[in-house]
Amino acid sequence: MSVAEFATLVRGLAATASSSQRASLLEAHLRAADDLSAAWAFWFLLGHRIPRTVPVRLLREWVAERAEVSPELVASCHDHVGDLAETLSLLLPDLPEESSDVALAELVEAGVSGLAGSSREQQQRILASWWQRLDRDGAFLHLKLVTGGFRIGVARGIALRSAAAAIGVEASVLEDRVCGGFTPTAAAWRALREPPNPDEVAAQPRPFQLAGGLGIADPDLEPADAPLFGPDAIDLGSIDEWLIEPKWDGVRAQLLRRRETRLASRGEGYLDRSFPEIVDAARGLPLGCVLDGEALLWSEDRPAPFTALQRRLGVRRHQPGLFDAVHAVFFAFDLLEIDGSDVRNAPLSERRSRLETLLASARPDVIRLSPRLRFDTWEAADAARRSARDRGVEGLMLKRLDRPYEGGRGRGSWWKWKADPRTIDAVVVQAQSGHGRRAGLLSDYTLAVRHQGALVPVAKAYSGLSDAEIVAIDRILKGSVVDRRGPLRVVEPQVVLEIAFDRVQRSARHRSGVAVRFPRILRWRRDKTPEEADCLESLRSMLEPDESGGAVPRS
Amino acid sequence: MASRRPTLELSPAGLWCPFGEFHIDPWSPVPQAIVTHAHADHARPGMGNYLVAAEGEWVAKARLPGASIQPLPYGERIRLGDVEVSLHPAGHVLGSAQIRVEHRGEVWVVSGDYKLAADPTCRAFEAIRCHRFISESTFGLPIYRWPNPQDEMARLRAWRRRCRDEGRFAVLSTYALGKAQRILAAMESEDLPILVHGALEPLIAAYRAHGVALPPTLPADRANATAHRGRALVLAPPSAVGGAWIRRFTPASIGVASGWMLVRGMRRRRGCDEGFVVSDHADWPDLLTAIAATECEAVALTHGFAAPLAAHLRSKGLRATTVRTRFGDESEDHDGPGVEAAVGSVGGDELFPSEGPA
Repeated sequence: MSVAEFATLVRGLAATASSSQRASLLEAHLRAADDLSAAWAFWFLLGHRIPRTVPVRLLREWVAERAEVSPELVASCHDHVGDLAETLSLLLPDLPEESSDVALAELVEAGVSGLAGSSREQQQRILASWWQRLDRDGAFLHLKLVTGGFRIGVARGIALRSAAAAIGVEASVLEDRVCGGFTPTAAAWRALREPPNPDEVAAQPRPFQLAGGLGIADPDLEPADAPLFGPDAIDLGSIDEWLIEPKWDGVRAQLLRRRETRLASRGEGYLDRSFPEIVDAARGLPLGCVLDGEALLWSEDRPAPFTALQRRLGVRRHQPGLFDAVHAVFFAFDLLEIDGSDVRNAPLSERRSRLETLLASARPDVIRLSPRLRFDTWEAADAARRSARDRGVEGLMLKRLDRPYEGGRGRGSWWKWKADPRTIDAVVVQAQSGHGRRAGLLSDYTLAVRHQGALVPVAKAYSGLSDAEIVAIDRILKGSVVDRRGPLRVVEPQVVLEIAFDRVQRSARHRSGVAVRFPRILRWRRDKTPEEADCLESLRSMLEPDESGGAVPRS
Repeated sequence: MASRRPTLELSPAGLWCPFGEFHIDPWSPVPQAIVTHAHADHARPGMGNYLVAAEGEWVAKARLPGASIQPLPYGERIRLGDVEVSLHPAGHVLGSAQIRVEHRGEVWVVSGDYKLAADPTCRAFEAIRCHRFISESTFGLPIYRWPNPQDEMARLRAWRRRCRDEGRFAVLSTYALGKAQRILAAMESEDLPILVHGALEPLIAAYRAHGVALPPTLPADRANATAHRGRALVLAPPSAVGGAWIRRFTPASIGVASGWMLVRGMRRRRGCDEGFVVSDHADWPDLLTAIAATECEAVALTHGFAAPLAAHLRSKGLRATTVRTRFGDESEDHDGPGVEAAVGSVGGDELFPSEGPA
């Protein structure tokens, strides 16, 4: 696959919203590609990036030099375009009309990976040589790779389906084979066609099943949102067909008890260092089983505050003191393998009962069965959902009892049904340009609430507004810039947005003393002035019970 | 001449000539206006009298029905108070003019909007030597370098043919004044039928009345939508393409013709299937060329990317300032992203503030 073909593919994928067209475009390109270029393309499709090794400042300088403009002018262009690679590609003068015939793999290995470990002079020479061989599309692609910003916006499911079709295996089989990671080499690409040696995959988790969101007003985060009540309600049928569990606010993980015993996260990493007690306890399980569940911290009878969990997740090496105050728990809710065999195709009802039997022998204080909640009606379940936060959980999980474990595939058999978000009205005090369709628009907002006659920032948010609203707010903000700090614009407080978030926690890093989790914009409050925004006190009143002490803003 | 009052000042109503007692493209009602061209942000309603280029008379009448419009042929000098005024082609749209104002041997030129690229529907930009030049800077960033207009028109026509082959309407979002006529002029008989939105019709008629040759067009009404389903090219202003009106043209591919289409984010935001980089404004190299050609000793830049362009010109040794006007506000011709305003209030400032002591 040449660079030009890859650029055509990327452009083609961007130009169509149809999943089937994207899949067939991808399949055709992967099928026709040389193994090494296909491996790289697939690696990018899985969402990997090559870290940037050339400082942005130097890239700007080198391009400024070629374009005969000042680096400050390049920065102005960047502010406007929003995307650095695109800006630089538009500025480069005298690019050839067409890219010369270069394989994608050569561009990536010589023109991007090859920059690592080179001196600045060598880097500048390498880049300059590529700018003589690539057309504008090619230079854009190259610069996206060099700046570490290259991303193909293709859903993982489509990427896997297309790659599976190109190499002639089932998509679910390919999903299993790449679950522990994929290395972009020609050999690894060819090896995807063959079953792996079981010993090599002993530390490899199974593809995680994901849940759709019910009734969450956040189109960016949850495209599959559907309300359970009201005119647009989806019909879930009888409540008896569902397994209902608490939605834990912990870390999703698979506990692998095979030749290796590991706690595998949904990313391509392991949580063994953060939760050594769970891994230790797992050694008490019989060999040949894999449990799906949630790792979290427990204090007395409820989950510990999320901040405690965050401290653990940051752990690089064993720190005994940190682990004594609260203890880790793995709430198991599914069984993927037992006695060395894959049981993912069995219905949930069967997997659940085998899980219950298995855990009857586990150490109950560390590896626990996630409780099954029973309700007679959906309304009763809804009432429990609404009060979920009082019990330290995020809401409910709904899972169809008659369905297999559908790792990495469509939604519909698992739903998360979160407690209603908390909301406040906050004021935009700073903004910077967004990316993608928000490029060049001041649309990443820093939001503040009132406190003692001033405004203190409490959140950053960008998702949730319509394109027209984003453009209208951009115009207002650009007309009221009072200061510039790099890409950041300090603006006169004018725009009030209603933001929703899942919870408030104490934060030493934020000047306000609190931080909100998963902030997203609900709507633009054109009817409100900054004086009518919420005050810090109303945010503090939403702190978790055991966190409310000591949340004092830094002065 | 260090101590004299400037020939043009920025008053609360707009650019003001105290010696001739007229405003140029004012944004509040005044008795005497000289108008560079008929786009809504330059030709606002409510002026006592409008002096316009004779070639733009029909267009101005279509845009400002009932107004008192006084035509002046390009290049012809008239005396207003103590100054001599003449209008010169700006190459932006039919009848667009640069305003030359001469007072006691000192020449100031207000560019209005302009482009240097060839356009068969209007007279080409003419560089006017002057002491002071007040220039637009809509696309005043070095990323804006227009592709060859013929290539872009060829791409547009290829898209139009592809749509017909696929049985879809080719709906092109385009400004009603200037861009629409420029695109029409590039179409050939094989590109027919062409349906046009009602907002374009009086302006197309004005161009024809002035003698600009344009291919035949049909109203974009329901009857024609049905009669030419899946094979017509449809021209409509951006507001119509974003609204319910567009639904009668289904299935359709949506194209946008605008200089902003050079940037991916803008294309994505417009939600179009195809973007064509066709602009009636000067791109970066042409702004530099036009400013240099005036041989001016100082330039004031307004609307668009005034500050970055001014900084660049200063680095090349030219005296360059920015002026905050209301050009570009809420205009069909400037529907790009918001641009951070030049520092200063709208109106009430000197155009060249770092003038030496009086």
